[in-house]
Amino acid sequence: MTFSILVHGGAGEVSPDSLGARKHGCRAAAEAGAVILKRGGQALDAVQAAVEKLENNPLFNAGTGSTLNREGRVETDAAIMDGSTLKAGAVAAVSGIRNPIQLARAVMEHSPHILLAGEGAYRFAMLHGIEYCDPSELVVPAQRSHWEKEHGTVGAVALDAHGRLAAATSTGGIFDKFPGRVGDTPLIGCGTYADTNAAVSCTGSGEDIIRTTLARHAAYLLEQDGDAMAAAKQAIIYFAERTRSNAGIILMSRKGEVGFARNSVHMPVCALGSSGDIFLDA
Amino acid sequence: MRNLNCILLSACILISSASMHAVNAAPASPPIAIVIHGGAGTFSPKDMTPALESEYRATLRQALKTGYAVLKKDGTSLDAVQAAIEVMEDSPLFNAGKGSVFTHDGKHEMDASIMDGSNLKAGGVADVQHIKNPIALARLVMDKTPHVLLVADGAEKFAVSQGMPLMPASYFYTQQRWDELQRALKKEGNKTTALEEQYPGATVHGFDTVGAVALDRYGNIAAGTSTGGLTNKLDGRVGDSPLTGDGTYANNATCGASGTGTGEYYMRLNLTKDVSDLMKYKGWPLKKAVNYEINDKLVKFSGKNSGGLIALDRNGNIATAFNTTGMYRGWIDTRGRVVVKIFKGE
Repeated sequence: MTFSILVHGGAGEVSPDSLGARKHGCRAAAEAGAVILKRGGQALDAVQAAVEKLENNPLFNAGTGSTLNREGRVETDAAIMDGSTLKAGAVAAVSGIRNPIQLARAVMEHSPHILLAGEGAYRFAMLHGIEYCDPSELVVPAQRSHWEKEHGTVGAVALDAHGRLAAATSTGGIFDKFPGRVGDTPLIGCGTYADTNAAVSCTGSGEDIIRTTLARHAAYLLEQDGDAMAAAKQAIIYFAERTRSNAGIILMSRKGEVGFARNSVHMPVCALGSSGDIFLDA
Repeated sequence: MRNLNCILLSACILISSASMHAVNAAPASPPIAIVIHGGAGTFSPKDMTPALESEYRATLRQALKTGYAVLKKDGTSLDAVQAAIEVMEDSPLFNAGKGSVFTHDGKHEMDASIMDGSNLKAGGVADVQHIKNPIALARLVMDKTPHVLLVADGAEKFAVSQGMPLMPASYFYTQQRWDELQRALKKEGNKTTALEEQYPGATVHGFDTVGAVALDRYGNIAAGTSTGGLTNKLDGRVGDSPLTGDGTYANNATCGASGTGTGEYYMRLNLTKDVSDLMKYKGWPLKKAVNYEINDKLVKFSGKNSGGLIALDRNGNIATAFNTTGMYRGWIDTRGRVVVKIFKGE
């Protein structure tokens, strides 16, 4: 089965009664990306649109609804990567940005750098007209008690009609993290990766994903083997053997084949094909 | 005085290397080795006074000796890497710790990371402004937090909580780096897309990131990298140095590696992890993998003068490569031979 976009809403364990709403949120995000792909748009724009949709959904740990650090503040990480050029942009530990994925895109388009962090990233956002907000607006009080059990991160991978792949990931990180902590999400090859062969987005125990450079590893496995689903599964096995932590991964091959795997309890995913095929799982 | 130091230093090294041969003659002793770099760049002998050149060589030797002393005393590769890098961070000659370059706004924002090849544990810091030895803070992130990477204020708060003093910005100041920023700011008006053109300081004087990779008696490989980044970089910019798989990587099964160059390219290619992958999945020897990454893949992607790499495998084989005209580098191999080089073809 070939698809053009695949999104995830984070690996972790969530209350079973919220699963339906989470799957629905992933579907809405995939549709937001698919609209762009259908009219011949770029994979890059599609993954950005899908991730923005998830960032705006308070159910997910990214943008609005992000988890809180040790000091009770929200610090977000995000990255986007264009597989056709290996261009990438990312931000880490930024507060007060409504859609961190937009800022990551701006870093890619308007700076010679790949990763901006903290205060410097925020000032860059001001210079480039990225929407900012009071950091407290991203906090959803009702969700706080749930965060402890979840990792949660959102991501999307897409293939456009021109054969270009892209990946995007966004997160509020982990509950009770140290201020300034950066996870795998904004690091190219760790939580996010795209080249001409594969687009990958990861979620889960960030520190262990960094240690295993999981996204790049999965891309490598796909390059060797050519089977997207097998590559995702092997990547998670590789990860679990070395870390004993939980993670989830989604990937798309240049033929539009999707792969996803998790060793966490849940990971909502939704894939949409150009002919309207749909795949939903959690 | 400096000459005297040099003579004393080389005398020490001669003595220690003589005794090393004796030690390594015993078959039971597993190999130890260390390789370091002080940055790649486009420099040639004519850019440097003989006095400055010998100062660079002496500091590289000092860093090697310090790291190797740890390994000789059956210390860990992590401690050796950290000790060697701290020597280069404390020297104003290199773009790491004291002597770091200035950001666009005239600040120092330093990045560093360290990785343990025996268990894939890692620690990194980015955008720290007041830390004398960023590599020591990276080590603390690895040892004392559940995280891998801390940035900016959060990282410095953590440093204070661990009893690490904060240094004033003046500690990191050097006239040469300040002048580089002024030249870069002057040229900034010229619109161009080439990274090298926007960061004249970066290519004329080299990237000057520092790094070390070591193998200890227990067969464990560790790697570390520390840098002030690029002259005139945007505030908040994070390069490849603090990122595992990009500027720094270590895995006992394959190799340890540390990079120096235009970080943005290393990040897109996951350069150090790629060396490891080529060894693991293609069965390539270390030297072939390192040469391919720097002189083929990186050159095709970003052109010449984009950087260099040092690496070491579990047998203590050492490889260095750069596509620039020079790279400050040195190693002490499994036979205890000390080598320090700066220019190409040396």
